[in-house]
Amino acid sequence: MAAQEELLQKYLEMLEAGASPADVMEQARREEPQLGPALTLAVAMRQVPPPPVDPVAARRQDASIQDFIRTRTRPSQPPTWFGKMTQWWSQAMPKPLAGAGLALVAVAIAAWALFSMNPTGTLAPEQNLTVVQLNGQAEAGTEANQWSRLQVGDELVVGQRLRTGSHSSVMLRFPDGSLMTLAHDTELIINTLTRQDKDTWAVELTQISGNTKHTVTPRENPKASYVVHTPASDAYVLGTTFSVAVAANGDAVISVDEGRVNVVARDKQVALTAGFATITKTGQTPENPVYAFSSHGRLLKAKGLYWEVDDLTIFVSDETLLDQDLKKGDYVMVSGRILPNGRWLADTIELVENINQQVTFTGVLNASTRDLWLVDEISVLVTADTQRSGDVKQGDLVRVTYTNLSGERRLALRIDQLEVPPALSENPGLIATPAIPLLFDLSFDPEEMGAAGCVATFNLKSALANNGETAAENLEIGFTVVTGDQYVESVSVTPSTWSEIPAGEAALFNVNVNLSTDWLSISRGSEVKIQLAVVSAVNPPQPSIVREVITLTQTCTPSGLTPTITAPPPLSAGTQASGSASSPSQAVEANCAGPASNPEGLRLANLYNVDYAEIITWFCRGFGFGEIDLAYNLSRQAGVDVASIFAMRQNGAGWGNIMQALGLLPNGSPDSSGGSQNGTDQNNADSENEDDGPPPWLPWPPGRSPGNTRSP
Amino acid sequence: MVNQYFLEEERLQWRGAEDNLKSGISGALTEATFRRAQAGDAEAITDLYNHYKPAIYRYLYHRSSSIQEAEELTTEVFIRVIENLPRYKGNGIPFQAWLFRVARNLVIDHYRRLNARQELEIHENIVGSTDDPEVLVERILDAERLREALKRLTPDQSDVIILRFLSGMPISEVAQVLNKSLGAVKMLQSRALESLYQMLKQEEV
Repeated sequence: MAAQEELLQKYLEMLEAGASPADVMEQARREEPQLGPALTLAVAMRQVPPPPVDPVAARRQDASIQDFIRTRTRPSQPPTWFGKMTQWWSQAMPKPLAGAGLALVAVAIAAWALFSMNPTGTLAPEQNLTVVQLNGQAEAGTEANQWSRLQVGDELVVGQRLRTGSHSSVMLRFPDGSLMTLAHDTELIINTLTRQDKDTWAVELTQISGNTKHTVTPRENPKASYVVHTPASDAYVLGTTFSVAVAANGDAVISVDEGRVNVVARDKQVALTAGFATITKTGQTPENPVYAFSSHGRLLKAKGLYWEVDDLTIFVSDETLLDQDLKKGDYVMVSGRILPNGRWLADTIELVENINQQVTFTGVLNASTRDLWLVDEISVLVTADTQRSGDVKQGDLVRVTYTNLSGERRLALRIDQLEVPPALSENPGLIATPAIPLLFDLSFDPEEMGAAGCVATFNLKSALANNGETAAENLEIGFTVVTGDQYVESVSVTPSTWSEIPAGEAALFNVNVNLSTDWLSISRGSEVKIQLAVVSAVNPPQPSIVREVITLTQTCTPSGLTPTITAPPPLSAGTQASGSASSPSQAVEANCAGPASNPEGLRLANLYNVDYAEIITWFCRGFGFGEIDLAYNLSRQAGVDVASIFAMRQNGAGWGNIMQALGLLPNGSPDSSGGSQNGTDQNNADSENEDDGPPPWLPWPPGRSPGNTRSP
Repeated sequence: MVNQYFLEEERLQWRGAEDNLKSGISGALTEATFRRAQAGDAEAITDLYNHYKPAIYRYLYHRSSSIQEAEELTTEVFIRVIENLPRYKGNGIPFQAWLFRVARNLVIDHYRRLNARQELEIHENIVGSTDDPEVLVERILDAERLREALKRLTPDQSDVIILRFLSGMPISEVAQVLNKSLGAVKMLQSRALESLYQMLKQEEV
């Protein structure tokens, strides 16, 4: 028997050393056939998948451990009078006596402290949280997971957990008067509730799931603190009103109504001011602040990606926290963020009592007349009754509270001037600190450009320059059609993302605009305006600040075919950015080629028997592989140098025009190849958004993702 | 008949599991991190927790009755470990073996308190048996079924199976966790596999 055990171990060690199971089994069958089943099991068990995990419970578990770690590793305080006294006592007295004496003193002091706080000897009631309002069901629990239902007037202490059921909410009051509301399906732990000195409290909470709203009494004393931990980030609060939403995957969205909150994760900090929100994805740094919105109204559409709340269309993602069983006709409160691409993304949607519908959103005041203000392309009526705070000027950041009038008009009830939040910065510590100014400065070069022509396709070059002192990272450009949307079939920005633009350098990009054939038949001088913007970056400026406007003008005359660039691009391909050691275009080209060979590039190189580098050079200059394929094909058919074809294309000629010019197309079918083909692809690429399109007044309509083309 | 199920791919899976285990438990946490954790550095303790949590949870999952129970026990293990970390001296027992020993003691205490082993429902409705290795492998890969089968082994046998084959621990380290001689663990290993095989080949209703 012992020999069999040894043999079994020998075979297992062979497997562990990397021997083929088949070989080991074969050897076992020869030497000790009885071990076959045992070896079968041993091998099979190595393939048993990891056990299932309940993500919410796992986060709860992580939160408990983190809380425990915090309590075990809190930095030691400087010696207090009590510490100094004990030190003196220890030195002055023989050890056994000193220990006994100290114990007696400690007991006496503790008793005195307890008595002075509360003559009954129990925990002083003002150290607790009190339930002041309750809708539906809420429970309080202990570490041992024993839950008891809460009632108004109940008091909660440190270490307790709180949770709410669906369609439920509970409001609690802190000893200093701060208020916290837990919305439906929310769970939270009270980590710390400590009186620092008179009227000064340290509050620490861990939100595991759901949505909370906090109205925090201003914390003027530096010892005061109010911290909300979430799985993804920590919110450090000075007196303010703010909300925290933790999605099922642990992502945390924090939005501020009043005051200021510093959001910290992975040693990066975002200082949020009123009207702004930020999301922190688990394990990542907080994203840059975006405009926040909230609205309540009747739910008119409650399925698909785009829901409708009265006349507001909102985007609902998998991470949106939804009250259970929401249905069309329910009266709901929606809170969320206005993303740089124009989507109004809902972070939470919950049932509320029917109240007069109001919408709050943040944006930049673009223009104003006496009665009509345009805030981020959204027009609102302003009357004498509209409350205003601050001396609002064009370009200022404002929060608008409005109600809907008939005919899709919006009446501004209140307009507040807001402070622009600073960008992401290094976390300077646990205490809220002033913002760190931006160290880089992005700008489009030029900020305005135009092209005119009697063509349906325009190709323009532009650049995004970093004039600052530090590199800008993870940049992304988005676009929106400001005017002439009905003529725009597709817009593509290539490339539209960069992992980095070093300080003092610029990245080149191409903008390709395909317009419909209707464009060619409308009146001369008609315009299409397209606005580009930096929609995301690490340490970015506000999305609304860095923009470029492109104006395309129709100049159809019997002879006019070639577009004219009215504002020449600042940096042609190969131009070196000022102050940089290497050509930015080369850097961009190298980036666009990537470290590995592109299979499509290789295929074309083989097909046309040219160097791979040649294909990739065209690709890096902004031509798609489809275009490169077509150009080489036409070049072969017409016997024309491929560079001439790309030059025609670069000058704005459509593929139909090029083919016609090369004599490859019968008369009467202008631009019938490349343009329409592109249009078809673009339709397919974005067709999923067709049914759920955003309202026409959104400044950055969905489906216009940077670098992609789209169809209206 | 048996051999046909052990293809090259499975050999790689075996190696993969082994590598994961080695990098997942023993390899990645540096000595420096461990020392900082012992000194009370919060970040290092968090790293240690994140590093060992999956392995401890896996062990406790197979030793407990539910996901919830496994999660609660995992939390308790780490609270005990963090509390006692400054006092851990090693004394010939590697940290990982000590960690699993804490987990094992905790689960034994837990079930002693609950007296749960006596309450376990043993399915005896056996109508037939199979020697088909494919069926056996399927039963092994059914996590719930495997867990039920493990409960019917003795606690030591169950520990050997979990630590040795589900956690991929070398036999010498299993001996340290169980505080038994190498020979005793080899015997337990052999008997545990034999018992498990007998259980899994039974066809239950």
